[in-house]
Amino acid sequence: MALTGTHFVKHLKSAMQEAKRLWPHAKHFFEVHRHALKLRNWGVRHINENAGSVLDLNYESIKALPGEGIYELRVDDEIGGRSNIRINFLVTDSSWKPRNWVPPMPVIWLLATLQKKRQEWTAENIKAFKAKKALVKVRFYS
Amino acid sequence: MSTCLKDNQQKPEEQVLESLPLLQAYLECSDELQAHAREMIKIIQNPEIDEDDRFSALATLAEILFPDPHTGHLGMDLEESEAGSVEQNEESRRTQEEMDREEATFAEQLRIHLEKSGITQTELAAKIGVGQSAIAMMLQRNCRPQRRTVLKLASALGVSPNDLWPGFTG
Repeated sequence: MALTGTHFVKHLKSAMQEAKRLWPHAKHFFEVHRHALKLRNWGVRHINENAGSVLDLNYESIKALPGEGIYELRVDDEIGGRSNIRINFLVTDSSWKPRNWVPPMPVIWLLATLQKKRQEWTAENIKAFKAKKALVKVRFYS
Repeated sequence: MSTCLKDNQQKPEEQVLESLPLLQAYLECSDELQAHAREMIKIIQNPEIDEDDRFSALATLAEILFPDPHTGHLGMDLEESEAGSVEQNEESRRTQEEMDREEATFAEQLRIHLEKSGITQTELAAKIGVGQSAIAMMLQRNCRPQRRTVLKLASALGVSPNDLWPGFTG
C-alpha cells in the first residue's frame, strides 16, 4: 500500500458495486474515486465542528447518525450525468482494535458513493449505512 | 412477514434445498449482522423503494452473507483496487493514464502561473477557500481538482481556466 497522506482509504465491496452501477463508464468511475482518495489526507483536514474540508472537498457528519463517525464528502462536479454526489465514509472509533493486523497509518472506510436525491438521507439509506458500519466492525475489528 | 415459496413445478423441499446456502450464510453471521440482514431484506422487498436504494440494500446484504474471500484481513485498499483494475483491463489503463496526464499538465500549469503571480501557496489557498495542503497536493499531482476549484484558481491567478486545464469545460 502506498503511504500517501495520513490515512489509508479502504472500501467495502458493496461500495464498489454501487459506484460501478451509477458510473459504468471507466472515466467517470475513476474520477469519482480519485475524489474519494482525497480522504488519504483526513489528518490534515480543515475542521469546523462536525463539518470541514479535505483538500478541495467539503464534508459533514450525517445528521441522522450523530456520534457514529459516518460522514458524507460532497463532490460538486457533475460526473457521468449525475450530480449531488456524496462519498460516505466511516472514521472508526479509537476503541476499535484492528483484528490480526496493525496498519502503519489509520484507516478511513469508504462505505458508499452515491447520489443524494433529497435534502436528507432516507430511512433506507440510513439503515444501509448502519449495516455497512457494522460490517466493517465485525469483519475487521475486535 | 411470511414468504411464499415460488409458485412453480418445483417441490417445496427442492426449493428449500436451493435456499440452503443462503440460510447457512445467514446463520453463520453474528446476531448483529443478522439483524442488519433482515433490515436489508425488508428494503429489497418493498415495492415502493427507489431502485438505487434497492440495489444498495441488495449489495449490502450480499456482502453481509458472503464475505469476499479476497478481502483478507486487511480489507480492500482503494488505491490498490484502482491499480488492480489497470492491470486487468486495457480500457482502465488508458483511462487512468489519460487522467494522470491531465493532472500532470494541470500541476505544471498551476506551478507556472503561481510563480508568475508572485503569491504564495498559502495566500492562494486563502483566496480560494482551501487549506495550503490542498494547493501543495495539487502541485504534487495528488489532488484532482473539482471544476469549481479550477475556476476559483484561475480567477485568483488572473488566468483563464483553460490556461490551467486545457480543454476545460465549466
